[in-house]
Amino acid sequence: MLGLGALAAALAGCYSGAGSGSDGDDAGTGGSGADSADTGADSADDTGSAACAESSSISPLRRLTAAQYRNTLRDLFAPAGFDVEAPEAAADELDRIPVDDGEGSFGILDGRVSDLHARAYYRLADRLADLTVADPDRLRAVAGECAGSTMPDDACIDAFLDDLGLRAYRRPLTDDERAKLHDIADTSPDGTEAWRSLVFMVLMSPQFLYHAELEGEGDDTQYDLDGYALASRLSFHFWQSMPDAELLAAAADGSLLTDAGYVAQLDRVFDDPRTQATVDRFYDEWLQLGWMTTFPSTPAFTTFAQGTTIGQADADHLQAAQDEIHALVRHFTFDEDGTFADLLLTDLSLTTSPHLAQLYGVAPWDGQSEPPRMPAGQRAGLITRVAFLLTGNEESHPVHRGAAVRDRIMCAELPQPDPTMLPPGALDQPPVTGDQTTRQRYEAKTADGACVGCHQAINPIGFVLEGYDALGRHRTEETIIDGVTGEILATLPLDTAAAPNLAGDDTIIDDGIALSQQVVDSGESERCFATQYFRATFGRTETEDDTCVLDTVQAELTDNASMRQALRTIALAATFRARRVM
Amino acid sequence: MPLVHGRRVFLRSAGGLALGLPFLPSLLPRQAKGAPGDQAKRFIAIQSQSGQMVADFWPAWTPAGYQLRDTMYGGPRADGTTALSETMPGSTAKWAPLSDFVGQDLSRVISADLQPYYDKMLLLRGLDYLQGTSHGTGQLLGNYANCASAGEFESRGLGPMPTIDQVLAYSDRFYTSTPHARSIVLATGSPSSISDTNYGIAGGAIENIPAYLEPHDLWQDLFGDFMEPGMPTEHPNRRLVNAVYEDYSRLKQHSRLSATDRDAVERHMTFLADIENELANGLSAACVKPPEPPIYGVGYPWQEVSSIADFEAWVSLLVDISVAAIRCDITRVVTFNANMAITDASGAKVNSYHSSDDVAGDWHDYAHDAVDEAGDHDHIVALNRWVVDAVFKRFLEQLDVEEADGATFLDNSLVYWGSELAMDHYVNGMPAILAGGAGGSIATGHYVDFTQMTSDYANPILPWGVLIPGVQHNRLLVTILQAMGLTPEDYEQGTPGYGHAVEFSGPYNWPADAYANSPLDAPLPGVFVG
Repeated sequence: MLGLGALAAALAGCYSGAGSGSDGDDAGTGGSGADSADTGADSADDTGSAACAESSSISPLRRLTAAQYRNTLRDLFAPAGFDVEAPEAAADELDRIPVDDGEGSFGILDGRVSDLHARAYYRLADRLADLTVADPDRLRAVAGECAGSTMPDDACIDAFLDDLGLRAYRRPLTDDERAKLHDIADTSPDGTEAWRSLVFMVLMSPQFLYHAELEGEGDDTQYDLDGYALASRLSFHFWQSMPDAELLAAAADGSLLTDAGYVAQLDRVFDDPRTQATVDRFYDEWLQLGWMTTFPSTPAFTTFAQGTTIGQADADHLQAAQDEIHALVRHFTFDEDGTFADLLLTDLSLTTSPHLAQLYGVAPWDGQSEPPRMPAGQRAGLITRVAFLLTGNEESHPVHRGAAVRDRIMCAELPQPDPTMLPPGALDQPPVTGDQTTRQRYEAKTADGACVGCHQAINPIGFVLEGYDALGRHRTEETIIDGVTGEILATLPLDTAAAPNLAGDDTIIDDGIALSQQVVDSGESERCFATQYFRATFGRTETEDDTCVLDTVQAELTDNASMRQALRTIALAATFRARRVM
Repeated sequence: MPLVHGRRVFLRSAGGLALGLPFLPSLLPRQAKGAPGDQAKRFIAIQSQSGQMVADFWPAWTPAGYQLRDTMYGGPRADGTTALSETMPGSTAKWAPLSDFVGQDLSRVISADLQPYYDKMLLLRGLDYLQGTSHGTGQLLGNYANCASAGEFESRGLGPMPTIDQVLAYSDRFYTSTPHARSIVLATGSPSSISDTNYGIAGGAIENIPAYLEPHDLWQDLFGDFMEPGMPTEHPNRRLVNAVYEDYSRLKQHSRLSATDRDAVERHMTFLADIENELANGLSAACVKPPEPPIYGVGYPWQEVSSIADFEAWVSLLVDISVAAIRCDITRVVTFNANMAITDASGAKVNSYHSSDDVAGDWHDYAHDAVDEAGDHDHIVALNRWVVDAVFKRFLEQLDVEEADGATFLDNSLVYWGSELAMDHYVNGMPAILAGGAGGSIATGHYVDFTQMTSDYANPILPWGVLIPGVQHNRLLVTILQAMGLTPEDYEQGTPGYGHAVEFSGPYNWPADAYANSPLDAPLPGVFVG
């Protein structure tokens, strides 16, 4: 296991970024360049990071994500007391920003810039510029005390560019940029139009709308980010928003390019509540939580949900299920030095919802005292929680569940079936019958030679998870319900014994706890997590050049470093602090 | 006095002479290719989501003089649908006047309510997607390769292509001057559209265009944001957009951008140029601006439908605003992806979304169960009937008003309704309903069956249909493109016709020689009349 000190040294050996080209004497946390490579030589070898020093990954020019754009607008105007998200401000326009569609993965992977994006940017720039000048008090708050309806002088414009302009561009403006904006203001008919034009221009600029990381030491194909670009990397990764004043100050005074200064800012940024929100979002997208917002109202589901509080006015099962995952993640990431294994194996119940707690058969947590534990022998970690197990109707779905574990948690390549190679009806769901459990129906359905090859890697996982019904309730027998009438057709004994073969052996297991343990023992889930986190960080899929970073994060997870440390690690890597053009 | 200069002037100074660089080809003034005086044509495409029971689209009754296929053929070709006996001149296809089918619903999906338009409609049967691709967002309109993230079986390793609506949208021949909106891309339920584009940038990445869901958004972009008719002065934002354009132009020259980065910047510049064009030109004085619609708060996530009445209202508004834009010549291209529709098969209207999960009551769930469960089959029929009625027919109604010289907007348009997928992921024998004459380029009024009834490759997949080769769907694309005035040089990309033509074979498909007498680059006979 890597200790934290050794880990920092190993990572320092991984990057060629911060501090390289500077004095290199800031090595309180590992230093950089040759010194740090020496310091962490052994660990660097262990993690393969020696190769990392020479590689950085491709960083394509990307627009701000929808969330980043919204948050940045909010934070840009917040110091002026201008709540851009207020209904009377631009709430309606903000809602029109096209949704980032990660096509089943992370929204940040959606790098599209469409006509709808451009029009949304235009309308918001227009609206916010209009609102800024419509109220003299607001104009002064946004642009400075010198701003008003009379033509501004150069000093007044410069003050604006040094404040809102710098924060919007996330760096000081160049002389050319300043000259151009001065010209825009100077050629306006009056002061009001001058300020409206300046705000509009800033909000429409590529420096505001894109991650334009173009400054730093190196050649045109590969370079270390300068302090301002690095400040943006940190803030947008952990906060999904622009750098705050302290980050910009650290960029301005150069401290962000020192190892000590960088780590100090990293720690500060990580401990900010905004990072928790980002981590919540990562888990939502990784595990595809929150996709279900209502329960069906069919007779079959009504029968199925009998005995629960679903349908009550205050029932919050779906939101509570998602919140529970967030609570677990926060507990093991920010409140405790929890590990990845803890997340996958814990029997703590952190739901404060009496409705969700009822499904689990526990008392709701009061949020302060020692959390209750799940009933013995029933649940362990994320995979066995309601948010992960929900199917959307009254039927459990072993294929979907098995595929979710293989795909999402293990990152296994699951080839999609080629329908044209299958007999007619192969993709239809097996009809419900009163004499078969769900497992039996799917076993029969996927027994065909064309299906079994893939399904033997999927179905056993789902069969083990048949110990939970479609609502995620633990069960020992299955109630068969007619999908149309809602009539109970039968109650059949369950067989949850199967050999998922996750860890390279054919051990037969029969419950979610053993399954979660197999996932941990497989050694693949840590790599998968590292991969998913990489994608969510950089907004792209990984390449061979990214092996070092993935290796490093994986090593920490495997060696039971804290989740906090694992999540910070990626920001310590060279890839995070440099840009390669390709 | 504000400094106002047009984009062309700006380009000349900043992008051209000042930097000593050539003009960007995509931003050069477009040279009109259409003949002067040509009547503008419009293209509207509507998709019902996947998983069709195709037999529901065909007549399955016997007007006077007709018999069922069961009687005429029997055996594996008997599927309970109406047999056509008249051979189309110069073709092996069979056809019949749609006017022969009045008196009751044309088929389970196509109601008798469309009878007033039969003389302006075509029902096509027997369109085959060659690759066996399926579920592609752009498949209906020619991007058979699906999106970049498609599974291997869905993409066949093919490179993506722009959908034909986007070929039109960025064609200098189709638009002889820069339009206010190159296309209007609509959807219900989710912003996934049927339009894939490279925004006219040759070699640029192909992306799915996010669709409008909210009528107010659409109205605002088309009618609300920009110049009012008769607005006397330069829009104050025009010079600013020009200046912003310059910022992007400068960024594009930065040495630390990759070619891909530059494409992204150029794409953004294209959008800015379009906005600038709108600010510069405004709406014509003759344009009748539709009233501002309410904000429904529709759309995403898909479950958020405030009421069925609201849903029906906003779908109507999406159609109406689009048609208003057509009539104002703000755009000439509209696509509509019905991801969500209404079914009343259970006796009450409910909305149903084609999600990717088998959630009870969603369109996808119905599709997968329709073969075995009659109730789900009924839902599929009802969903399609609703799309035909609420979207397709509404477009026809709104467009069928006189434009000039006795011809209606519909006469000068081509409205295409279809789907990209049949049951069990088969993509053969697909239906299409066309309406409008595309300015006289399309012959209407018939039910045309391209199914090769004498083919040796007849593969019955009961109960929902019989797989018999027809014609390649590519030929419908070529028909549409040529009907809109394009020539092969405008759309072909190294191979004849449009859309990939890679054959594939599987145990349930027939070999490529099934289409031996069907050239990919030929418009559909009897449909395209030049």
